[in-house]
Parts: sequence; C-alpha cells; structure tokens
Amino acid sequence: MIKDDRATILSAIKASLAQAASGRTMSRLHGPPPSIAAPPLTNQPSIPAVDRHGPASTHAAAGFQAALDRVQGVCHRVTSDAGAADALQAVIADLGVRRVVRSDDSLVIEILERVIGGFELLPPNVDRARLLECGLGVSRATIGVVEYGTIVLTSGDMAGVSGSPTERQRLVSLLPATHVAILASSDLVETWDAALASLRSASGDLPPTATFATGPSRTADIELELVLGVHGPKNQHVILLEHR
Amino acid sequence: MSPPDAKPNETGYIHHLHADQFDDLVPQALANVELRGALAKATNTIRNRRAIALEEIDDLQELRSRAKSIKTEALAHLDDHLETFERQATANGIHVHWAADAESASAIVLDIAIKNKTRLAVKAKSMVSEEIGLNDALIDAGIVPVETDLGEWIVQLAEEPPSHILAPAIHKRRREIRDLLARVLGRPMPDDAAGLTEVARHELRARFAQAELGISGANFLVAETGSFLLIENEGNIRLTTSLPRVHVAVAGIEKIVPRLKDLGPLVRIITRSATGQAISCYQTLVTKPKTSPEDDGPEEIHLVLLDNGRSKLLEDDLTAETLRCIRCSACLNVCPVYRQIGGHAYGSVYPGPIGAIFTPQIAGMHAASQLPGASSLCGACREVCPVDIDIPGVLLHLRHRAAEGDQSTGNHPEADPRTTEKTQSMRRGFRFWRWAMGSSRRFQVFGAVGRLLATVIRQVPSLTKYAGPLAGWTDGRTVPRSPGRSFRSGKMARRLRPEGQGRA
Ligand code: SF4
Repeated sequence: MIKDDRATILSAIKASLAQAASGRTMSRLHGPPPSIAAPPLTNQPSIPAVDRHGPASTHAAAGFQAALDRVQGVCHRVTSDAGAADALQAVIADLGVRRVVRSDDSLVIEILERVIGGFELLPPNVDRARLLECGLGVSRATIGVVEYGTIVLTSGDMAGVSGSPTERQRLVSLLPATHVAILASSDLVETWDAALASLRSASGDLPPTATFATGPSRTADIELELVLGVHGPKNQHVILLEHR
Repeated sequence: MSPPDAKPNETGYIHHLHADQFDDLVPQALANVELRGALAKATNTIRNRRAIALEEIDDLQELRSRAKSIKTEALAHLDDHLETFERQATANGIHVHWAADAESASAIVLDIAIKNKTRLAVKAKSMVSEEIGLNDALIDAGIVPVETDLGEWIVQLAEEPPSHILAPAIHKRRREIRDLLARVLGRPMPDDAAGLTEVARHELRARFAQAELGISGANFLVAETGSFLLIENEGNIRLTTSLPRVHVAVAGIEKIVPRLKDLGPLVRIITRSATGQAISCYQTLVTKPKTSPEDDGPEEIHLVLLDNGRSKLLEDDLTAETLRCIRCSACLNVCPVYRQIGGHAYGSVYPGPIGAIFTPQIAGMHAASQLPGASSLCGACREVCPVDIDIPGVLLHLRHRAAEGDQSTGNHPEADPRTTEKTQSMRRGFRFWRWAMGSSRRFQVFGAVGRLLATVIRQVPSLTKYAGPLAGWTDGRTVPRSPGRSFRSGKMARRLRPEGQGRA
C-alpha cells in the first residue's frame, strides 16, 4: 500500500515557516529586515487573454526571420498561398524527402494541396512505424515569437482558444528529421511572455500541451561541440505567410 | 541516511551518497590529468558563453531581482501554493502524489510503473530521480530504465554517475565515448561528435517507441494553472512526454511558482545562466493529458511532489535560500574548486557550490560534513547565481554547524570522527599560532624555523606524511616556497619602517 504523505509535508512546511517567522521577529529587534518576507499573493488570474490578431508589420516578420537565423533555423517569407506551396516543394525537393507526414490543420492541408508532389503524403493518424519512416513533417505554428524566432506548437482540443486549430501535431513536429511549420504573420507576437499569455482562452484554459520551439534540436554533450538534430528535428523551417 | 524513526522533515536521503569519502575522492580527481583538462576546457567555454549571453540583457539586475523575488515569494507561502497547484492540476486531470522522503517517492513511481505493466521506462534527465535512486528501484523490480539525454545515456552506459548538472558527461573526452559505445554496441563507431550523436538518436528511437512509461523531472510548477514546465535542448523530454502512454514527473516541492506569468523571467534567465543560449530549444508546458482518444500524447499524467528534507530548510531564512535554486549550474562553472576536482569528487548527485550546501542539508551533516569545506569562499558562485543565493553565507553557516556538531542530528555522536579530529587539529594549530605571534621575539624565531622547515620539506616531500597532529591542516595544502629570508630583514621593510625604529 502506498502511503500518501500530503498531511505530513504540509504540516512540516507550516511548522518550518512559523519557526522562520518567529526567528525573524527576534532578529528584527537587532538586525536588518528579513530577506524572505514577501507580499501576500493576490488571487486574480495574472495574465489577461491577449488578442494577437492585429495586423503584423514587415518589421515583425523581418525580426522573426533574423532571430530564427541566429539559431540555425530557416524562415521562408511568402506573400501568397501559392508562394508557400512553392517554398514547401523546394524544401522537400532539396532534402530529397520521399515520405511526408502532415498535421490535420486546415491551412496546412490547403497549402499541401497546391504542392505538386513527387512524394508520399501521410495523414497524422498513420501508425507509428510508418510515422517513424517519414523524413519531413508539416504542421501549423499557433504563435510565432519575434524576439527569439520561436514557434509555439499546441496540441489537443483547442476549442475555446480563439483562432487556434484543433491539431494533432505533436509527433508530426517531433519525429521526422525535418519540421516545416506554417505560421501566419497575424500570429506573431513580440515576446515569449506575450506568447505564453495568449495561449490562454478567455476562460483561462490552456491547451493540454504547448511546446515553445526555437530552432533545430541541439546538444553539446560531447566535448561541448554543438551538434544539431539529436532527438528532435535536425532542420527547422518556418514558412511565414505575410498575407495572412 | 535517515534513521528509521526520523520524522519525515528531519533529514532526507540522497541515493548513492558517498560525500563522506570526500577526502579520498579529491586527491584521486586531482591526480586525473585528463579529467582536469576536460573540465578546464568545458567550464571555461560555458562560462564565456554565459557572460556573452548575459551582456545582451540590458536589465540584467532587474531580471535577477525579479527571478529572486518570484522564488522568495513562492517559498514564503509554499504550503498555500502547493495546495493550489494540487487543486488545479487535479482539475486538469493530472494525478498529484505527495512523497515525504526518497523511499516513498520511489515507491509511488514504482507502483505506477507496475500498474501499467511497464517493462521499459524512458527517462529524461532529472536530478530528483537520481536523488531518490529511482533507477535502482526500477531495476530491482525488473523494469529497465533508459536514460535518454545524450550525456546521461553515455554515463549510464559507462555505469558512472553524472558529473555536472547540465552536461553530465563533461568529464569524458570524445575518444573515451567512442570506445565506450563501440564496446557496448559491439560495432565500430564514428570519430566525430556528430556521428556519435547520430548513433545515439538511432539507438534511442527504438527505446522511445517501445517504452510503456516516460519519466521526467520538472523545472517549474505553476500553482495558478496546475501546469508544469520542462526545459531542454535535445528533444528527448518531448519524446519522453509524448510517446509513452503514461508520463510521471517527479519534482521537489521548491519548484513551485505562484503564477503563469512568473515563467517568463525565469525562462529568460535560466538558459542564459546555464549554457549561454538566449533561450533553450524547447520549453514544454504540460497542463493536461490528451483530451481525445486519437490525439498524440500520454493518456495518464502523474506528478510526484517530493519533500525529502526540503521543508526543514524553511526554518531559517538563510538556509531557505538554498531552495531558490533553479539548477542552472552557473555556480559550478565558475567555482575554482569544482573546476579542479570535477563533479564526482563531491560524492553526491548535486555537485559544485550548490551541492556543497544542498547535500549536507538534505542528507544530514553527518553524511556530508566535508562538503561545506569544498570552497575557497571566493564568492564567485553568488556573483553569478541568477537568484542571488548567498552560497558563501550558507557554507559558513554549515561549516559552523559541522564544527559545533550537527544540531539537526542530535548533538555530537554521529559527527564524522575524521571531521572531529580535523577540527581539533585546526584548533591546536590556531592556538599555537596565536602564541607564536604574541611577541616580536617569538615571531622572528618561528619565522626562521618556518623558512628552514619549508626548505627542508620541499626538498624531501615524503616528510609531509609525518605532519602528525598538523595533518588536518597540511593534508589539503602544499608547502609554500621559502623566501630565504624574512620580509622584515629586507630593503623594502627597512624603507617602510618609521624613522627611529631599530633594525629587526
Ligand atoms: S545555486 Fe544559483 S547558480 Fe548555482 S545552480 Fe542554483 S540557481 Fe544556478
């Protein structure tokens, strides 16, 4: 039988905090004010839901591109859906990828329909063995962060989050060696903090999982030499739709 | 190790702790030239990257003080925040468990593993799981734990403990790693870091696909929303928390932050302090298990809250600072002691300056009384610490406790006999010093004797073995080169001496 130590831990914390407080009262007579004294917490939700669907500037797009470039990612700025399809086609052809898996986001599907082909396209619900054979995954980025070139990938039933798709992208964006994210420029925000804030729906709900991804995965575990693509994708592309 | 009847918040337990062997481990580490070379190179590189990254933050001091006050506030009302976290996480569908000590944390995870018929568990790097000895517990139950962080995987294959909080294989050269993988996998290995990394990716993919259970730590727990944040570069945490059907995260109770918006400043400062990147590759905010059957991700998420002696640290404002630590490892990279002896010499999962204060407070002074001495008190650790922990202050406090006998484990009986002896020999030394310095005559005589002894001992090094009652002092020190004659008899001293005073 597993014992649950909830009560033990909470009362231990309370006892310790009380002891610290009494120690502080003693030393207040002599010493400087305590370092741990903190204002009590207010219980309001801290971050209001943010409307991020304002017009995006070219300034933001350029900033995003430059930041992604600094972390060895690639940003393709396009001004039409046809341009997005061309960019995607070029990435697939350059890498010689034969099997592509997509998420079920409607914009992703729309753009892929314009791509001429030359590869096998799989939906996100293929079995894992086949998914593992895919060289490239295409999914939607819910948000883009200008300061770092970060894309935010959200999963699950996003009902209630304005403008966010219900998407199965977790493995699509993670398993293949190359990930291509489709990002609308109206989904760009300036800071990481703003991105986090805008994940919350009006009712304060968060998606089941949100991953903030900045560039390709990397490690420096062997003699601190930078190697790209350890467990996550080796190539991170973002197709930024400046017309959307 | 805590005595069987210890109250849970008295002291905790740290797995595989052999910090009591510090005196033996240090000379071993110092004699390992290869290790010292690797460490010097690695810590220098990380240090420089960090310095550059932090330069880019205009409002660094402001950011540090925000990070500090977030953690301070969280700790000041830790009980409330934990209860809020539990309420929110439970509403989100996460199972929250409470573990007063290492043993019950291991038991909780094991129970989940067994209920889910786990044969293979993939693990993302987690200090806490090392602290509670989770791997051994799983292995004893016939479950295979596979570490998936590249460095962690390498040290697991080498059957060694990690030596650095963020770069667990920092002590290993590439050649060693290549030979190790060749031996374990039974085939020739590429020579370059990229090739070796590719091998690891391939080998571990198969494990991720098979595992029934994924085990991770957590960097921050958000009370307000019942979510937790995982920070990484490699993507193994994403895989660990996406592929297996069940995910268990184990986190110390001090990981809590009150609000969602507290994550911003902490994320911003943790990676810059740690590796010098502006931001790590991935931050994953986990709030719920998957909401529809065809979705990706785990069906079941468990979070184990671990005390293991942490609540005790809150008794005192100074020791409580220890709990602010966000495990960025900046203090390791700047510590002159760590840079010489490496992580293994600390004999604990937690190495470096933070380990020197965390380990003895968690496991009890009797188990790690030497560690607070593993510092030159130069203050570099505090200077870089993003949450401004007074590490030298806590060190001094703990040294004092070690010298006085550990209050937290009763009076003296359990104190390490070696410490007691060392302390006494130091006391003898200082008493003698005070007497010898007491008059100008004695000062001159003993100065001459000292110069003579230093010359003789340097010529016959084996004499240092016979330091007798002074061994407590001389063991850790080398004999300085004798200047030949005293400063007082030199030209400079004569010139400095006020008029009218005779020659010395
Ligand atoms: S003590 Fe400070 S510098 Fe050291 S690991 Fe913790 S947060 Fe980082």
